[in-house]
Amino acid sequence: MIRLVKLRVIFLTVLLPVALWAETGDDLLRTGWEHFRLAEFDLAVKTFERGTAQAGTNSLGQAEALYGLAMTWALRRPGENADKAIELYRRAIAVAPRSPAAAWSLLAMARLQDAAAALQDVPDTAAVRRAYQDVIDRFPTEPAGEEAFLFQQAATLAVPQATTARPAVAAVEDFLKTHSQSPYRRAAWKLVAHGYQILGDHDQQLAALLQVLHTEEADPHTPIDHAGPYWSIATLAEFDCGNFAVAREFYQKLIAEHPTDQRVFLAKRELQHMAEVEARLRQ
Amino acid sequence: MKLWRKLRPQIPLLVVGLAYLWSAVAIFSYRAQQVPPGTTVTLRIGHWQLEAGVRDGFNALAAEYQKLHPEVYIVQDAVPESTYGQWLTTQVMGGTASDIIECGMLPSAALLLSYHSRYFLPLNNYVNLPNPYNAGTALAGVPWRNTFKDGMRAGYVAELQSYMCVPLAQFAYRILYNRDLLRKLTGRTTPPQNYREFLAVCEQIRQHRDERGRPYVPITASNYHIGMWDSTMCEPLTFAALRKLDFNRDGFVGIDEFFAGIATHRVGFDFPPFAARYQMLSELIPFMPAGFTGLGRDEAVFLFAQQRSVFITSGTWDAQSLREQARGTFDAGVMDFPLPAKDDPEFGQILEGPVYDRTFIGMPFVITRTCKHPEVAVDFLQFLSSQRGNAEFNQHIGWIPSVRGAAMPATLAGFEPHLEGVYGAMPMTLSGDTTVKWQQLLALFMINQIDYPTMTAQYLAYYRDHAPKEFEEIQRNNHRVMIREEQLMAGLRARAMLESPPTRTSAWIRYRQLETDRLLVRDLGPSFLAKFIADGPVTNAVDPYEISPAALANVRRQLEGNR
Repeated sequence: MIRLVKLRVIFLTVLLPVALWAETGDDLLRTGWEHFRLAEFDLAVKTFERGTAQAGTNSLGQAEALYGLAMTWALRRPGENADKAIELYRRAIAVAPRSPAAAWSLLAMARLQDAAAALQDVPDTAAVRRAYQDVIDRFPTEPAGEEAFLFQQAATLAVPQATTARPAVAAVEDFLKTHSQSPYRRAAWKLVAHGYQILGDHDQQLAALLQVLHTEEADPHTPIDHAGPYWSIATLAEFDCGNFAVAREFYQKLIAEHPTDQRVFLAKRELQHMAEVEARLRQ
Repeated sequence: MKLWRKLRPQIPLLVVGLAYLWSAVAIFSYRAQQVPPGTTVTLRIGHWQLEAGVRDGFNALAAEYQKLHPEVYIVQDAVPESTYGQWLTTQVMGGTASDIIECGMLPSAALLLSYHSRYFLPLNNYVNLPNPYNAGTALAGVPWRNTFKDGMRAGYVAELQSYMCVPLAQFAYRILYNRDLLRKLTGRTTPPQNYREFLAVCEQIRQHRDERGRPYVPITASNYHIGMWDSTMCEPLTFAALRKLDFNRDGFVGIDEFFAGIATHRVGFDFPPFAARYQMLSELIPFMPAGFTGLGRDEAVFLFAQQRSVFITSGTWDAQSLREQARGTFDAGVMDFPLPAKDDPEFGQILEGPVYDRTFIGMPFVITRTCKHPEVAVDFLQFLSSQRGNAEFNQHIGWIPSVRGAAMPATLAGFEPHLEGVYGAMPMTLSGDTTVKWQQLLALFMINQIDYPTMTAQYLAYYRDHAPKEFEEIQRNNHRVMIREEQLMAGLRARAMLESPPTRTSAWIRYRQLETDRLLVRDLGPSFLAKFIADGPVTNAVDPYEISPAALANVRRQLEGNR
């Protein structure tokens, strides 16, 4: 009886408070990422390592902590260790292969490869494409898979050649058809617009830029400066497409919605200029 | 004796300990004495604005605020600009920073960003709610951020996706002039209205000597002021270059686009608007003090305050101080920059319109994470940035309010910003070497040792040799700094993944917007420009702001279809 009472006392005075005091896996993840955001990478490493140890083997929590740890080793400056990061990404994927952490880990490995290639004199673009393709094949409908697809096409479009741009544009247009609800539609339309710019098809470029605007996601906390997009659409419509109706609409939107923007003077000039061009052509 | 022997080695430590204790008690009791009885909240506000009126402005507004909230006591920590960066750093690191502090004077944007994320509180929870102190005004019910002239963009930190600062004033440049001296030397009661008149008046002033036989200096200037004269009067003459060089058509000419224009021979330094800029500068320089490039700001101000000079250019931040110096001695007026008239024989055809005032919203205040009463700090900042409060605050300082509809101080009549007009489009330098070379040549030009053709011929030879390497280095640097962007996005992605349901959607939207604009499409524009440069000179190219033949045909078709 006395022993039972003693055990209860120990439980209530020592074990229970410790259990209550101990950080949960989620707490550790949050703290680890907070350290990461503040560039306190040593603390981030320690916290993610605690998270990895504390989470159950082969659990989602362990995969998430491993992903955090890998990201820290990959992106910390100074003291980065790409090999260690890749090993940790692989462990995260092995621990929970279908988890979001696995998907983001696979994408992070592709991004590492892309970043390294960008600094090479002759980048191995085929290897970068394959790395992105791996993410796309394994997570076709996950956000990481969609991002991988867009980065893959962006890498192609970063070389402004019609021969490579044409299939890239077709692929992104196909993506927009098959992923009609994707939150990455705005990003995809941006790539389409750039692709048509390379191809010199300005009407399609204009249509894509209008779609960029229409597919924009609204967030009350983020101010969206439309002056730049309005200006791009208006000037493209005026100078490359000869679509003065669209040009007028967007110059006027710029003037009305951003009256203090530096380009307002020029927008008014262009409205006048288009009227003069039309008058001259009518004669 | 034994005790003394034991204690003796400890004496230095004891002295240090006592000194520390004494200073701690002194500081504590001094601060306690400052706090009036009945107050339960003390807010400290730190800033570097030692210009006339700023401290009075804070004191006046603090007194008004205390009438509404007797439990709050507000104390200022005014720190000189020269040591503000160090002060800010030691205070935030030591956890002893003021509750509200003016944010800036740090050596780099990256450092400022890290301070924002470590030491300052985001204001996102407040900016979409109305400012309660705007009740009964035209801004009642308007979200706080939309009550600012710039929509609070000056307070938004894109990297953190957060509103961090509350900007309290707006700034612009104008010319201040000595009314009495102008009248005495020229008989004029009004300042010159255009560029030619201004030159004629300067010439007239230059002919006079003071009672000690020293010639009057029409325009006081220094290495600090010359940039203001150039950017507000001369550089806007280059606006036409935008139509030739704004290849990405964003409305501005970047250093890379300028390089592309020179590299592909689309434009040269003989382009009339470029030559006009330096023609005007060379016409103004003779009216400035000899050797002005070696003078500092204070020496130029001294010349103006001593009534040896008639005109000085100034930002609104200096205007009140200059007026204070003139008080009781002479009458200081404000005038706009005198631009060439439309029929000006040299520049009339080149200057396309009025000059756009590059005003900026500034005086940004943040709340520190160590603030014990953040709600009160936000409330006081809302009081300062209410329509009435901001008008009154700036009335004391003589600055332009940052809040929409807040009345300008009467002393600033003439400083109302012109928000429609032309602006400069001639960013001459690319990176380190070209910048140094240009500065060397410009210095010689400003002391009349070389003329414009010689200066630009020497620079062009250097630029053609060095700029391509600098352009390549800029491209490489763009890749090198990408890791910072990857860090930022990883942090935002993790935040979105761990966010609780009510704010998760919002966090993902912010993540996707930044991911798209800062990472995904990052290389597309630069690669286009790089190819453009690699393709080399083109003789029959259409300018970026020229309607293409195909577009013109389309317009014609549409007009015919409408007939």
